[in-house]
Amino acid sequence: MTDHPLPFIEHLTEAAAHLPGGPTAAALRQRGLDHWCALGLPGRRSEAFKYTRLDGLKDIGFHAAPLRDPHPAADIPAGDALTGDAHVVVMVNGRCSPHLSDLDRLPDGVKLDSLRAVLESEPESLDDLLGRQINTEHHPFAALNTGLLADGVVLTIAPGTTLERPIHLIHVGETADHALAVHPRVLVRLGQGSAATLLESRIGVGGAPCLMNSVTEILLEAEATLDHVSLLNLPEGFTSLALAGIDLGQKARYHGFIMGLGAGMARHETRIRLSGEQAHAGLDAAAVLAGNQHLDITTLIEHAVPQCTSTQTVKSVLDDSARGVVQGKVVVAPDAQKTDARQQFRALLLSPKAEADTKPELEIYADDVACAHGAATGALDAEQLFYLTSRGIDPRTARGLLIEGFLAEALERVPGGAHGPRDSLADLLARRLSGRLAATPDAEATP
Amino acid sequence: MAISEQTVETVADLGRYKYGFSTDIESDKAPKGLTEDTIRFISAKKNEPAWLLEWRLGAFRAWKEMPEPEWAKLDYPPIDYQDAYYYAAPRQKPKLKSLDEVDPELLRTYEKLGIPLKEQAKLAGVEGADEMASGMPGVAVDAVFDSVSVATTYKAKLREMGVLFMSISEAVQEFPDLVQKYLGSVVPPGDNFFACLNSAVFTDGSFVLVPKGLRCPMELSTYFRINEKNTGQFERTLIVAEEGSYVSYLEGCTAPQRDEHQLHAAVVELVALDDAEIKYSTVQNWYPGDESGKGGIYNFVTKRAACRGRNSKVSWTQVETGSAITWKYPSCILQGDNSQGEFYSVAITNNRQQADTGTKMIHIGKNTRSRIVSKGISAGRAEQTYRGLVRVLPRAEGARNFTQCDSLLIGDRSAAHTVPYIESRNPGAQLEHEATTSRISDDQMYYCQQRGIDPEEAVALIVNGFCRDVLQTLPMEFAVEAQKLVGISLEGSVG
Repeated sequence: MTDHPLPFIEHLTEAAAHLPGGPTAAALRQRGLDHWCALGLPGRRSEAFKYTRLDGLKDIGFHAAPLRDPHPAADIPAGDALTGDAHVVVMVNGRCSPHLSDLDRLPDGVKLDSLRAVLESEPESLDDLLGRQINTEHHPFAALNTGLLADGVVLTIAPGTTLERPIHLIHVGETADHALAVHPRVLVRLGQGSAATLLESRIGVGGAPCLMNSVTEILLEAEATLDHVSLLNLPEGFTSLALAGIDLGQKARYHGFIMGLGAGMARHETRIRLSGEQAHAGLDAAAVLAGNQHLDITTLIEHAVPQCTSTQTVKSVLDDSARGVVQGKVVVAPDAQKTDARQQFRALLLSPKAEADTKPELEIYADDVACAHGAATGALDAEQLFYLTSRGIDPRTARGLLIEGFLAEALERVPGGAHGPRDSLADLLARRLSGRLAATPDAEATP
Repeated sequence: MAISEQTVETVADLGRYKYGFSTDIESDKAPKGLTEDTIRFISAKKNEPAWLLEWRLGAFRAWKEMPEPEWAKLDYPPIDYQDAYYYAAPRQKPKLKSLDEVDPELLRTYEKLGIPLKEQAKLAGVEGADEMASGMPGVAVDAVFDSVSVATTYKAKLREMGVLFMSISEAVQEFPDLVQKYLGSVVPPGDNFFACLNSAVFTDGSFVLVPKGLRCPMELSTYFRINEKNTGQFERTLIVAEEGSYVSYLEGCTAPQRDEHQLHAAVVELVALDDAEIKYSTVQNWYPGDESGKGGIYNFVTKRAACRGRNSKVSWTQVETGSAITWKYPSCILQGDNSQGEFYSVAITNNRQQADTGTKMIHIGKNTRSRIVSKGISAGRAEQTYRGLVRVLPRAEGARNFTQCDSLLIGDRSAAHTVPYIESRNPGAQLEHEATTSRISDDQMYYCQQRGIDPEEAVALIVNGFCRDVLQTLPMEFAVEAQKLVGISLEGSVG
C-alpha cells in the first residue's frame, strides 16, 4: 500500500522474543502485529483520521524504549502534572517506576501493580480484561500498542470498596538524544458497587521527539462509579496518541474529563460502551491550544441496551495556528430504547490562523430515543467584551474572564473538594491563560 | 386536515406508487454496455461538435480509473455498469398536426403524470399549442423521456424575453459557445465517480440562461421520466443566471415499477452571477422499490451551485421520497462576497429505502451566509443519513451558517444518522449546528386520535407539521403535491 517500509516493524519483531507474559500475551501481541501490518499508518483516505494526519511519524526514527527500569528521571516537570493528595504511580517512558511512586497507603480492596509484574506472575488474571475493551483490527495504534505490549498498570478495586483519595497515574515521556516511542497499557477494573477517582497526567521532558501511544481499558461492573480526569500537558516535540476503551455494566456511572493543554500533535480517543441498563456516561473536555498545537478529541459512545444516558460537552479555545478537532459519535443500537444522548461541542477561535473542525455524529437504530447534538464555532462575543470593558475592566482581563467563563461549563462537573482535581485544573488553566492567550490581538479593537 | 383526507383517498385510488406504470413506446437504443463506441454513438446521435465528444471521452477514460465511492452509509450490491443501456429515445415521429395524431401511449403517459392538457399538446409536439396556451401565466415544462428531451413548452415565448430554455442537446447545437463556457465549470468531469460517468454518457437535460436584469416571469420545470427497461438516465442540467436576474426552476421525476434496479446519475450545475438568484426545487419520486426492497431506482446525483457574483443567491429545496438508494448533496460554493446559499430538504424513506443526502456549503467570499434545514423521516426498515459539510475558508470574514437537522423515526426498525462536518478557519465566522432525533410522541398521537383523527391521518398531519419549514419554501403547486406525497410515502408505516 505504501512505498515506505512500515514504521515500528523492527520494534515489533525484535521485541517479541523477550517481552513478558505467557502464551496468551504472546498470541495477543502476534494479533496486534498482524493488524498493524494490515493497517499501517492511517492514510489520506482514512475517515477516522481525516483531520489528524500522522504520516509524519514515519519520518521520525523512533527508538523503542528500554525494557528494564529506566534510571529515575532526574528532572520530572512535576509542576506540569495535576497536584493534590493522591496515591501516585509514575510511569517513565511506559515502564512502571516503583521508586517514584507512592503506594504505601492503598486501602484494602485496592490492588495496583505494574502490568509487567502481573504478566510474569499471574497472566491468567488478565484474561477477561486485557484486550477486551479495544479492537485492534480496525485501529492501527491500538494494534501497535498491543503488538508491543510490555508494561503499564493494572488497577483492581474490589466490589463495594470506595476509594477516598484519587489514584494519580503520571505518564512521563523523557527523551535525551534520540526519539523514543512508548506504548503503555493501563487496565482498570472496578468491582460491583465500588467507587474511585482516577487521575492521569501526561507530561514530558527532553529535546528529542517522543511518541506516547497509550491504551487504557476500563471495566465498570454493575453500580460502579468512576471519575476519570486526564490531563494532557506535553512539550511541543511530543506526539500523544491515547485510546481508552470503557465498558459500563448495569447502573454503572462513568464521568470522564479531558483537559487538553496540548502536545505538538495529540489525538485522544475514548470509546464507551454502555452495556448494562440504566448506566450513565459523561464525557467532557476542555482544550486550550496555541502555537502549532493540534489536538483531536474523538469519542464514541455506544448505547447497546435500553435506558442509558450520556452527555458530552467539549469546549475548545484556539489561538495562533492551533487546530482543534472534535469528532463525537453516538451510536444507538437496535432495541436500545429510552436512550437519552446529548452532545455539545463549542470552539472559540482567537486568531485568524486557528482552525476548528467539528464532526458530531449520530447513528440511531431505535425509535424511542431522545438524541441531540449542537455545535457552534465563533469568536469572542464583541458585545460581552464591550460590556466588561465599559465597566472599567481592561480588555486583557475581560478576554481572560470570557474565556474562563466559556470553559467553566465543561470544568464544573469535575469533582472538587479536598481530593477532587478541580482546583488543580483551574490553577493549570489560569497559568495557561495568563500567558499570551488573553492578550488583545492587534486586529480586535473595541467596537 | 383536508390534505390528509386527500392523502388517504389518493392512496386508496392509486395504490402505493402511483407513477409505477410503464409505457410501450418504440424506442431507439444504443447497444447494451459502456465502451468508447457507446459514447461515440451517443455523440453521433446528437450530432455533437468534436470538442464535446473529446470531453466525453476524456471523462470516460478518467472514470475507468476511478474507484466507486464507499463512504456513504448505503448498502447495495455492486452495480454492473455494462449491464445497462446508456441511450434510449422514443422513436422520431414526423411533426404532428393535432392531438389525435399523437402516439396515444405517449399521450396517456403525460395524462397519468398529471401534466395539464394544454401543455400536453405542446409536449407532444402539436403545432399551435403555444398560441393555445399563450397569455396564461404558468409553468414552462421540458419533458425528458429516458435519454432525450421530448418537448419544451413556452420556448418561443420565453425566447422573446431573452430567456433561453431548451434541452441541452438543442443548446449544444444552437449555442455551443455558451455550453462550452459553462459546462463542467461547476462540476468538472473528474469531480467524482458518478459525475464523471455522467460527463461521459449524459444524454439530455435542460439548459437555462436568464439574461441580465430579467426576472423570469414563469416557473421553469423539467419533468424526468425513466421508461425503458434496463436503461439508466444520465441527464445534465445547466442553469446560468446573469447579473441581477432571477429564476425559479422545478424538477420532478418518476419511473415505472420494475423488479430490477435502474440507475440514475445526473449532474446539475448552477451559476449565479452578481446579484442573481436561482431557486431550484426538486420533488424526487422515482420508483422506490417494493416493501421487500425489490426494484427501485439507484439515484446518484451531483448538484452544485456556484455563487460567483457579489450578492448572488442560490436556494435548493428538495423533497426526496422516491428511489431505492439516494446519494445526493446539492451544494453551494459561495465565492462572491455577500453571497447566500440555502438548502431545505425533506427526505422520507420507508420500507427498505436508503438515503444518504445532505449538502455542502463552502464559504469563500466575505460575509457569505448559508442556511441548512434538513428534515429526515425514516419509517419501516429504512435507513437515512444526513451528511453535510460547512467549510469556512480564511478569507470568508463575517461568514455565517445556521444548520438544523432533525430526524423523525417511525417504527423501531428504522434508522436515522446525522454526520455533519464543520470546518472553520476564520475567527470572524459564526457557525451553529443543531440536530435532534426523536419519534412521533405518544402525546401527539393521543391528542389527534382523541379528536377523532385516525392514526394514519394523524401521522400524515404530524409529519407535515414536522416538515413545514421546508415545504413552505416550495412554489405553491409543488407544495401541495409534496404534502400529499408525504402522506403517501409513509402509508403502511403505522398500525
